[in-house]
Amino acid sequence: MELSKPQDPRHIRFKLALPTVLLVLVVLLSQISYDVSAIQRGMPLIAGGLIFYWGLFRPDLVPFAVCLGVGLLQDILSGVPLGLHGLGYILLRQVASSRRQYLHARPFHVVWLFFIAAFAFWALIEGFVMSALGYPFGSAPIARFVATVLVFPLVYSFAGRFHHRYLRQGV
Amino acid sequence: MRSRSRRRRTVVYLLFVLTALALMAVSVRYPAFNQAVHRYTVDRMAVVYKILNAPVSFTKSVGRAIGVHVATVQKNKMLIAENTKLRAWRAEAMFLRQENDTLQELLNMVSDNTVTPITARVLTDSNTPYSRTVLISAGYHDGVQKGQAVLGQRGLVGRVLFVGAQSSRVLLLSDPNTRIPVKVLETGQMAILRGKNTRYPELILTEGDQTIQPGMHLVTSGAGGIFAAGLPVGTVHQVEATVRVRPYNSLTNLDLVVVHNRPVEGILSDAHHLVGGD
Repeated sequence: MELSKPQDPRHIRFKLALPTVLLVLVVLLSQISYDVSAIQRGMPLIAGGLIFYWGLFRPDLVPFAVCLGVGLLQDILSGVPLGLHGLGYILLRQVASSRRQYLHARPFHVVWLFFIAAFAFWALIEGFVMSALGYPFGSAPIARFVATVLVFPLVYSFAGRFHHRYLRQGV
Repeated sequence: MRSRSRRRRTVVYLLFVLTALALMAVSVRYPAFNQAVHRYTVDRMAVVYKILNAPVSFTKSVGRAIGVHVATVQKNKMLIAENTKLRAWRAEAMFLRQENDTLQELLNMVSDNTVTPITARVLTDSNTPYSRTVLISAGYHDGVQKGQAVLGQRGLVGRVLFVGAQSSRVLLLSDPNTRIPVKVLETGQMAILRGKNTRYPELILTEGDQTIQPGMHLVTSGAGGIFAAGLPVGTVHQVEATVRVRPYNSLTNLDLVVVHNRPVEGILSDAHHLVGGD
């Protein structure tokens, strides 16, 4: 049997940073003006789906500090109070990682339901905070919630492929 | 051992939740803190967004070029007809301008011609379901000041909320924090335009609503001294329980905007909690 070559530590460190890099990239791209009003009204929170996935399979790669940092970046770029997205990402990461053992043995729709419940919980907190700041709870938050929930299977599938492609061997 | 590790993880989790909540409380309570973070981060990110926006802008321009090409023949016929009408209007406008200049001279009137437009590109959209703001590629180095009016190709789109060195955040007409004094052109009625986080901001009439009708035109009234009077805003879209306004300029597909660079002397509200005021 042939033994695989040990990987360069720098290469491993780079691979371990990939989920964070991906999250930052997703947050940056989500703030671009795409000229599509439907997207702008209900831009799905793709980073939330990605964090849920990593929380489920590799929570060590997205520690709470990363969740908070990525959330802060999104808060700054979108001009909302600091900590709002960070709180959501920390909650999603915690729900996923604390139910890992249970969810690993369940079909995808159960994982999806957990994501919906966790995301709905955070959307309520966000709605409460923004309402307190004078922002009415209109149709746009619901559109964003629906879009995020519907996009989650795609995000999950993409993250799964990314995980198997780049982070399985020797990392 | 295992329960200790679990307890440690819970403590770390709670610490981060508390950090996020504390940040939220501080940024809401102290807008200056938000502003400092914004100035430090967003100005540096502006360069990244210029790069990230390049392919999007290219795709938009290609799409527009194709659209323009397809519609050219039909548009040309329409423009020829319109041009004939406009020639007559031009002659009348020139006469009126001359008359206006003469009258202003006779009255010794001080003209408000201190506007130097600043053209900027929209870098990012807030893309949040609550607030409606965009980040533009011009800041105080370019002469932008807080409160200045921002116009699209067809009319007013918002006002400058926050100014960084190379970028500024613009509060759009559709943001719920927007309040702009406007005037109905046809009747001279004064009103306030208020954002409702929808495509059609609400018009709050301050002098009764007997004569308001769909299709009437709205311009800024200049009340409060923040905006110049007469900037095109939109038309009355719907008159029901509330009056809704269709802005002349779409608020969702902004690319290039013009900052109406004019000294801001009016009272600015610092009520906006998002990135905060000065």
